[in-house]
Amino acid sequence: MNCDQASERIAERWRGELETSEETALREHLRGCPSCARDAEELDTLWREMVLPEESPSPALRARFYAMLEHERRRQDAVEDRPRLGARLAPAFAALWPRRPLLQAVLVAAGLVAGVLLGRSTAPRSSEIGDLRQEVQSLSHLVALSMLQQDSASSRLQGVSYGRAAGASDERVLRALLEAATRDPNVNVRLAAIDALSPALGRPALRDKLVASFAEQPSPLLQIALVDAVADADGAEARHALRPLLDLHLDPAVKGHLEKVVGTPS
Amino acid sequence: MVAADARDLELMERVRDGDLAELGVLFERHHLRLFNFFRRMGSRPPQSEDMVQEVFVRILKYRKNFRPGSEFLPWVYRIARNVAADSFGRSGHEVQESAEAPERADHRPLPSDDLLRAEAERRLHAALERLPADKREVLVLARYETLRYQEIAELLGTSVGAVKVRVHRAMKQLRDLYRGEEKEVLA
Repeated sequence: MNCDQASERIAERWRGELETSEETALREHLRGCPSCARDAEELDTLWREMVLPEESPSPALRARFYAMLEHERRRQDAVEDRPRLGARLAPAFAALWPRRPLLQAVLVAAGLVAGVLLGRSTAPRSSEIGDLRQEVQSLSHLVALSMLQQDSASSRLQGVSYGRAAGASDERVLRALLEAATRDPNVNVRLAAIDALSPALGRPALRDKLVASFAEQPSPLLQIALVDAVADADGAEARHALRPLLDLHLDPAVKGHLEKVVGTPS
Repeated sequence: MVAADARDLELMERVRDGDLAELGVLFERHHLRLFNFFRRMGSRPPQSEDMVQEVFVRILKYRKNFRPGSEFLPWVYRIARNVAADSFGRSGHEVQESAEAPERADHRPLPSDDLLRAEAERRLHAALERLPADKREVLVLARYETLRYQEIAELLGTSVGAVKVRVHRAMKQLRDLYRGEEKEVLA
């Protein structure tokens, strides 16, 4: 092995790509070549120590991206001749906001997201404000759906927040929240999703699917949260849906709570 | 193909076929990686954010060019390199790291315990900055990104052997520059 070949083997070793068959030849070369051996030791140390922590961008990046994506979706729908309610929004906004595209996108997106997060419920004063609410919801749906599919639990938790803010109007978001409430591997995400589904649990189909997951919930805490969410939604009907759960083998705390909510049969 | 790659491919094919909402999932999966790639290439946080946005604008714009069966991440890195080249070309020179106290993209103050580590990172950033652009790029790709040597070679349009040699030479030069930075601090 010559020095150039040794350099390639060392580069492979840094990334764990060095073939076992080449290790011995490399070691022998380093034993016989002080210059390569010195370089290898110094560079091995530098490779290990040149850690740069992962940085995070500011929240503005996400807002800009989703504003851009929503704009492109609307443009695509217009091209495909499917009119969207938000199409009338553009001229109204153009009159209101500065005419610098990047600043406009950031301000619109920041306003949309801030409005959702603050949970605004101001009644529309005009049709343009009504369109704005539609666009806010559409944007939050997109963000919720994206984030609910992420690998990190904290991202999925954020997705649940966006889903809650989006309200009970989008079927895809509701399905994604139900999936999170019944299958997410993280208990906190499930808890948050059960809570986010509460406003929609007056719908029997959704309520029944959540109740059907009761036996599979991995902790008494989740089972109690599920019972409370369903019971809060629609008193008598909900208690009727929950009553069969009393026949299951239950944790004593869960059983006691369920009996209080449902009422033990006389 | 590993599961994560297959998922990216599935999402991008849906975007290509018109389901633009799926680009949101790809954004969530990859915007951090891209932001850090541009940071390590020497751009300051605001410029790195602009460049990440531009990558996704181009993914949308060129979505129909995404060939069936091709791999998503190498395609995205090709776009990212072009964005970086355009950005550096426009500014005429690469953006230099400030010699002032280290900053964070989210602008929160650094705890005092982290200042020493932050100083070491600043020196490393400064040494990386001084590398010639092609050496810096190959080193960033090899040390911090998850591409295999074969994929880096295809991205750069060269042989796998050449990439490994370039990485080794870049490391030697980085070592010398880093030592230079240490001497300045100790002086």
